[in-house]
Amino acid sequence: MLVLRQIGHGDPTTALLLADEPEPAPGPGEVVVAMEIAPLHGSELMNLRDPTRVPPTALPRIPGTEGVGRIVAKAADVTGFEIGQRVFPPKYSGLLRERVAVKAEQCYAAPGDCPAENLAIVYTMGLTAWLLLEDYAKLPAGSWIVHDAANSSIGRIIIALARGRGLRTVNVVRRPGLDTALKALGGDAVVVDPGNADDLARAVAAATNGAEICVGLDMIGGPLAGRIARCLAPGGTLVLYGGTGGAAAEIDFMDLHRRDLTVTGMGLSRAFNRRSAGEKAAIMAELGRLAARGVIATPIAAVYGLRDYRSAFAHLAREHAGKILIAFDRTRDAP
Amino acid sequence: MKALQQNAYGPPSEVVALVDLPEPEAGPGQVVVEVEAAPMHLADLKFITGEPGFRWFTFPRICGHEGIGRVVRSGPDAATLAPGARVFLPIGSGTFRQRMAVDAAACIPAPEGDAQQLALTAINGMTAVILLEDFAGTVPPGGWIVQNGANSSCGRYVIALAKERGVKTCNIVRRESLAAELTALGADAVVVDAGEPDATAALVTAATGRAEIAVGFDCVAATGTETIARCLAQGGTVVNYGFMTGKNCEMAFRDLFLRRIKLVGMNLTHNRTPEQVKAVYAKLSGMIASGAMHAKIAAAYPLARAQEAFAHQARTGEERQGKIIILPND
Repeated sequence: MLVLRQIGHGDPTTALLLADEPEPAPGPGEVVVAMEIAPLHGSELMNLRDPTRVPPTALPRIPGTEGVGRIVAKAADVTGFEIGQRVFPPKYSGLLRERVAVKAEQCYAAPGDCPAENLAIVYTMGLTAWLLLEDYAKLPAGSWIVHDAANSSIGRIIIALARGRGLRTVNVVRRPGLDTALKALGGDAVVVDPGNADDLARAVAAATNGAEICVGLDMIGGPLAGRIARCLAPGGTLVLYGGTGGAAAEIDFMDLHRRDLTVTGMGLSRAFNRRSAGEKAAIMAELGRLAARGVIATPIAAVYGLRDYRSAFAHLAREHAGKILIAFDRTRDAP
Repeated sequence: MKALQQNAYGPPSEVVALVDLPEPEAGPGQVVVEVEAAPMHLADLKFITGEPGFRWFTFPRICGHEGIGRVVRSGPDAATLAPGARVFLPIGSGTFRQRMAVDAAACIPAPEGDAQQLALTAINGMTAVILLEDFAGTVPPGGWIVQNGANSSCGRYVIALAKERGVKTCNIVRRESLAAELTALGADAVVVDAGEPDATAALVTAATGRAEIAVGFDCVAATGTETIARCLAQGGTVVNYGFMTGKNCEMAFRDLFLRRIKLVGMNLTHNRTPEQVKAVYAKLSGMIASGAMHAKIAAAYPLARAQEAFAHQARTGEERQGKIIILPND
């Protein structure tokens, strides 16, 4: 079976190695999952390039943050899962390999009757969006929230989930032309970031008829986090969840002082793991159902076979609209 | 009756003038207060120059945010405040003038004692109380807090109030020469900012014997905020109450996400009822009058020398050495 390994740092062509290796066997409590689909996140590129993220002592490692697959073998002591069942294997378990042995208790059941592509980003992006709204935006129906990077994969899921919870979204984006697409997902207002806080706050106020917005979600950090803060009502909370921009969040003193804002960060693992096993399974089941029905979805830029990983990583490094997926079905491989 | 009047946003020398206004009359429910002392804050300068976030006004306006004075006339229905009564003037009431008419109900009784010291009760004193009571109320005696700008008036009050509660303070300053002075006030540790958050946090860790610090106060902003965040234990809270750098508060992702540090703001009432505010003033002004809390006064200026006062306020650190006070009737 094929396994992709990171063996060094630098360019994907030299830092990655695809090898053919023996099939895994399930140890006690384990199932073997045949991967169907796994997304390539931007963080995979950073892992290749940045030795402070992945120290040389952590090499070799198998990339692959999340994905979905079917159980093809299980240990005798595993209950609750059947051969052929589709599951979400645990995150960060090195999923860019055809088959992986993982602890059954760390797997979540996934819907079996939809295209695997629908489920590719449920476990990170879908879950992040769900937890943000559950933990920070439990507001009366009709309340507004504001968020940036609204056209990103998570941003789009936030729109759909917020709509399902009866919330209204102001969607801050970088470029014009997204109005129709984001409103079709369930967004209520789309505002192009004018690049300064007062103008953004004015545009948001105009788009919401001056509604009190108590919750803002920021994926980027830097000055944009401060611009979202300017849109919030007194006592409001700004939740940072991505830090995609890499820069420290910059919050204006006057916003903190005059409007008593709270600025906090949500980390996915902690927000999820502080819940009971039962709650976690119920959340994953709900997200699976929503993804199977296409309620939460992400545009797909391209799907590559694992053998074609070089093209996939090259595409990841270019500007791309939507997610890049790895499919493990060998019929996709070029002959 | 002389007053410092601002006519536009701009340099103080161009937009603030000493003017002669009619003597104020006490309307129904009002008293006329003769201002004894009114502190100047960094914000007073920003309100004059009109920095972003500080353009709140229509002109002309009288400068000065707080002060202490004595009632000289009582209007109808204001008999509760007789002439001679000393009061704290309402915040934001334009205190850089000789006399002013204010609603008696908005004045808070003030004790006898050093007017210049007492004049700092409403803003710097109240801020220190809110920081400690509302945000560090759960820090047990023997526990630590950390603050920057520790030599500011508010920072010094924090040291005194924390000491009264048995809470230890680790104080970040820019100059080594302040260590002895702050230690004499009751500071448990004084750390000179190393210019970089990780390095300063390492000094704080060493100075506090690796104490877990749950709350920190930031009045510096920019990387000052990040520095305080870096000093805190997992899940800690940075309370920002000023921005001496004039820059935005910066929170790094490693603190927000990996260490779950929160950043919050505060304001000057923080959900207190007027009665609760009165009670805080009474306690604070008692401590100030007794000398238990003592601010460093750099200089006091009469209204006629206000431009010198603005220039003095614009300097920092060793160039200023404390608070600037306006004495409108000097």
